[in-house]
Amino acid sequence: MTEEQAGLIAACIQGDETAIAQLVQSHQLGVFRLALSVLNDPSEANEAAQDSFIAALRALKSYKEASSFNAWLYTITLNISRSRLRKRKTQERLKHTLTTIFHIRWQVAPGVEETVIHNEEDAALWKALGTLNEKHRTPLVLRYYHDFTIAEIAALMNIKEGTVHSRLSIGREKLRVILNNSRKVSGE
Amino acid sequence: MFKITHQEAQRLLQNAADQTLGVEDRSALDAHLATCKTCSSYASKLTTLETDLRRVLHTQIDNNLPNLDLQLIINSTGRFTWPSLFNPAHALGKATIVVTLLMGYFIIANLFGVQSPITENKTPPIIPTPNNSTLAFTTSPTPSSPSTLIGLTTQGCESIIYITQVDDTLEGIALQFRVPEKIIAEHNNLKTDALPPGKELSIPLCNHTPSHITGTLTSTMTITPLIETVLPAQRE
Repeated sequence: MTEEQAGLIAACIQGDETAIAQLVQSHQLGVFRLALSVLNDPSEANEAAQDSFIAALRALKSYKEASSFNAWLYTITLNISRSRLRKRKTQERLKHTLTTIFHIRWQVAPGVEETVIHNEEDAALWKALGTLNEKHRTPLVLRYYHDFTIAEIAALMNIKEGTVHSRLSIGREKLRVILNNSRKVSGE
Repeated sequence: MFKITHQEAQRLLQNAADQTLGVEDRSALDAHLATCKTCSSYASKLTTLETDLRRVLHTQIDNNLPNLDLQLIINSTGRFTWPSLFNPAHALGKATIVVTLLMGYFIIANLFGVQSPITENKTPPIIPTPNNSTLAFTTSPTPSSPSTLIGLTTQGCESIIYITQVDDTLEGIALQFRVPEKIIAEHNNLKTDALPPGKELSIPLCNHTPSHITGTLTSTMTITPLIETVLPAQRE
């Protein structure tokens, strides 16, 4: 950690508002995009990013300078985002049950403002990625969007490196199979 | 150099994608790919998949920007700030509103002399009885000397000195003061239930059962229950 970063963290612990603003502004893009890549909903990702900064600032005294601040902050963000995702899935299951029983119609929350993908292959890949379960999708996103190493993903997700490797392999293999099948269906 | 199977080659390709491939494995894989078209095609598809994944994820995520509420984050860190004192979304702000409302109530109450409704309740005390009728008490002030005096017992309890009247019974006195008969008897060393008129009884209020009647008993008065007028049937 640089001296400047250490000074900024110390000022944040003292409650210096300017330092807090500086810390948030310098990390908000990474934190938000990490939350977005897990939640796939900009509005919820914003809330998750805010919650992550609040949690991090409250726990700043417990942060050990030996570890990377980014990694520490991203671990908090990932935990909060995954927790929100689990809650959302529970709510969706409940909604599904209620819909089945009472025929209630729910307003669908807008997801990521999807850029129009001109390439059909890319569209199929994005769709296939959405069909993977969270434990296989998150390592892929961390690896191919955030460019984290296997060791970093293991630390972030609090799992063994071997497990990360295995989940990445399974995720890639599933995507390959889904894309192959979709090509066959489209008659290529 | 050792030879590897197609399955092993595909496993090593997965390792290569994660950059966890050793030097020896790399040489064995390269040698296999040079001669195996199937595995070479698999390697090519895997590389394309990785490239496509990066592109698609960046295309979909990069055009979304954060819109964080910085003030909310600062306020929620728990540190005191003046604006947080007036912000209803903040715990301190909520506390300020509650305190202000309470202060306002007390100021208005003092200005306009609003009294608690309990102090205004001057209705005659009534005691419900099992047959749903009511038991009334009359009060007859004693001009010469008070029949009740308030003192303290050795246990520090408030006690009342009651001077017995004609026809007083221990049960009646216990009922009047809401103190169990046994306690009054023990406190005054009463061996029998007979109460001659003019006898001083000290009635401890430690064992007093809360009732709305107590407020009327602290003044100088004697209380004679009119059981006979209310419950004649029971006497028969």
